[in-house]
Amino acid sequence: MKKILFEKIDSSYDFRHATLEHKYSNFIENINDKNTFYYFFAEMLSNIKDHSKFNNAYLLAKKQEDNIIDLSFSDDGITLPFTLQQHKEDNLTIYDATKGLSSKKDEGRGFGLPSTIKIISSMIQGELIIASRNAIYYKTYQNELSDNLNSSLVNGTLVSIRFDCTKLPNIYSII
Amino acid sequence: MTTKTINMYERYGDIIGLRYLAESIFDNIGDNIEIVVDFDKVEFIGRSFTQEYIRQKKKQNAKIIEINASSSITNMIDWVVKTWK
Repeated sequence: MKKILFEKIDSSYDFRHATLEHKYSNFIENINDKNTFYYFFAEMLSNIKDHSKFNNAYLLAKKQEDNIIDLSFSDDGITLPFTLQQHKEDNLTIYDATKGLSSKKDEGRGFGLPSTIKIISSMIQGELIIASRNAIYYKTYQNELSDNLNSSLVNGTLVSIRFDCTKLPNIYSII
Repeated sequence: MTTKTINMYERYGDIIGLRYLAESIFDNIGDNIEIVVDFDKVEFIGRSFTQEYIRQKKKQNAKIIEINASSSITNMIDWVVKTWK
């Protein structure tokens, strides 16, 4: 049976273990490393909170019968290309973000998105899509594509990851 | 020297993921003090939180000691320190 959870994210989003275990009880069954699951949450939510200046943000989680999970984080914020102001073409700016470019110049920044992409695409053969302003970026183990559209694709940013939850590696074995 | 203990579980819960939580962690601590950061019952800390925690820690003049940190927490701290740029 397919499981779906849709929730609004705000500044008071409850990240405690008991709350997540309760809300996502149908999702974390069969997950072989919950910390990796929490890692995705932490990095994606931190990115929204730190960079997007959102008014509204949402999380859509979907789990299929074959243990494939989709986690989609969306916000109506200022978008990656606007935040980074790196290239005229939005897809090039998003590409740089996936390689570690951060709008914050503090030491140690810029690892959240690349590490998530590395785990999803290289280690467990999942898929990742980023859509922000005029561009879309798609990454799998074998493919990495990005393109621009003529008009704004989304009013904000969408990051969506798809993975087989039975394949999640121990986060501490790969860092 | 005075010792002040920060109980991470009581303050943030057992999963500490978001960066902003660390931004004010050492606010109003004072000088000439020893800070004990107690990770008892904390199961997971995210990379972004850890990066900010270390950044705030570097700004302190106080001696900071971490106690009751599980291997998952020490591994994350070690990873962030290792990849600091």
